[in-house]
Amino acid sequence: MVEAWQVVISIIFLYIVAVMVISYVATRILRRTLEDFYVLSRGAGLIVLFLATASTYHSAFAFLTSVAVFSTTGVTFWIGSFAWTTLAGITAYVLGKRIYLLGKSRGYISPSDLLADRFNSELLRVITALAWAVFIIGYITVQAIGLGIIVSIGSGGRISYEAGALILILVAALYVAIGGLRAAYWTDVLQGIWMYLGVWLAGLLIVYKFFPNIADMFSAVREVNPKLLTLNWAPELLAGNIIVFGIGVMILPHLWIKFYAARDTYTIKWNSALTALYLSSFYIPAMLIGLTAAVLNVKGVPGLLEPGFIKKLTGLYGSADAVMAYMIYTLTHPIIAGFLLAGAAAAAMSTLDSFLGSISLVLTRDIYQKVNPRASETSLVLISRLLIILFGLIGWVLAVQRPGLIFDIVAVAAGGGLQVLPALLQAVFPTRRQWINKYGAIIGLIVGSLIVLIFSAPTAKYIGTSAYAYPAGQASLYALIVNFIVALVVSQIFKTK
Amino acid sequence: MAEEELKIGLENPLALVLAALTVILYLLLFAIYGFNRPDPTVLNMSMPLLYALLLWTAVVVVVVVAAYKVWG
Repeated sequence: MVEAWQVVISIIFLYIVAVMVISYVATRILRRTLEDFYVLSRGAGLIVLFLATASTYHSAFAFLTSVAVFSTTGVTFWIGSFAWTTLAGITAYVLGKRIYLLGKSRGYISPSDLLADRFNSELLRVITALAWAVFIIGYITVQAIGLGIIVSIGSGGRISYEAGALILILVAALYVAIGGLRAAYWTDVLQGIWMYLGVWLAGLLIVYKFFPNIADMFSAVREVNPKLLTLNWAPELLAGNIIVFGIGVMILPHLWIKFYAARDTYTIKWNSALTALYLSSFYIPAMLIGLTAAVLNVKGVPGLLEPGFIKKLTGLYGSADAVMAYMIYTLTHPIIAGFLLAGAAAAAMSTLDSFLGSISLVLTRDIYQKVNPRASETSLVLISRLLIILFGLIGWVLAVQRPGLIFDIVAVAAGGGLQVLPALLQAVFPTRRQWINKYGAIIGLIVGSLIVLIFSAPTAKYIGTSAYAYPAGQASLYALIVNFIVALVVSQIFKTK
Repeated sequence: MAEEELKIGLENPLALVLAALTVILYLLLFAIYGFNRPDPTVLNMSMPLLYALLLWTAVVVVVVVAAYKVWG
């Protein structure tokens, strides 16, 4: 007799095999140059770029933590997320098109290439690369958390959270290390389709299992906790989250380099519109699952879910992020659960691969190549591969500490990424007067990044500044405002020729 | 590459209208605080959720129209 967990894990295993096969094919046509390794020789067409962008943007954050946040804060998450996901699409056009144009004409590969060239500052290149490296580790960590939860729950607890995270991190690290971001782009196409179908299937199956229609579900939510149907974030937190997730995520290196990879402006424009549609509509089924979870958390399901199961999961995994995976495993047929949990793994791995690739690019191109300018392309690719494995392992080590809710960690990472915005705006929008110069860009970035780290609640607890901390989205917005002011003032004080 | 391509192209009146409309739609999101109650409306959704769904539809329409007519 085959047990449910064996079916689920077998399907997840088949998904991993499919990903590895695609990566192998990508590797066969990889040319050993940095341009091909990272930006697909600037030849990504609409389907590849769109699915790569969308699946990279949506990670364990979208598949796991969104449901967790919906189940605890209700429709608040939809009110914020529809705004930041559509803003992400608009950002992909407004900034992405300019990044693409500059990248194509100047041959940029790393995001820092653009900033260093436009500001004529190698120091800005290094500072930006280091700032990204710090914040991206948080993003890699949350994908590891998601993968650990998926495998642990999918195996009915037989494979530990730690082992599950390590196995899937190594899979992602290996296929990116071997096939470069070309492999990531190709696997993202599969993962982007899989996770989108998965979240809609999960949403409809779970809601209609317990309610005859959507209206009855909303009535049940109102009965257990009417506050879940209202907006529960303060205006400054709502604004901060919209800016952080709408702009901050889109200008992190993993998405920035996708603009370089585009084939033409037609691809950029429709990638932006389709991305807005994909990202925002993803959260509708996630909301249905999250609100159903909130009801079931109060009422329970005899023999399947006990009342208060969210609290129990929080105790086991250090946050409520396991709600989605647990409901899928408990409430759906094992074959469907396997398909859906593989979709959740796809969401995490499609982001993880891009982050591993982009962080290795940033450190190889912007630091190692500057230290060792005579390094051959082959040796640069080798260093990149080692960094991919190293950062995958660092993410795993941090994930096993169970650092908290994915939503909060991602907000810090994206809030840190957002601090590049003042420099980026000056770099891509030509103005008669240079409002921000290299000095302003560097000091502003440093100040903004420090404010994010010191005053965001998830990092403040490690620094000892919790008494002055805000939710990360809010702290990041304040950091951005200070960053802009500092950048403008410093640029006026320290003039460049 | 000509720096001209990087400039904001608002010569097209439709581009101006859509840009202004987008900003207004995002600002309208904050009007929710004026009627932030769980009372049932269509499909038993609360007014904040229904309003957010309508705003989402409007933003998506603006983005698609912009992609067709304005974005180059």
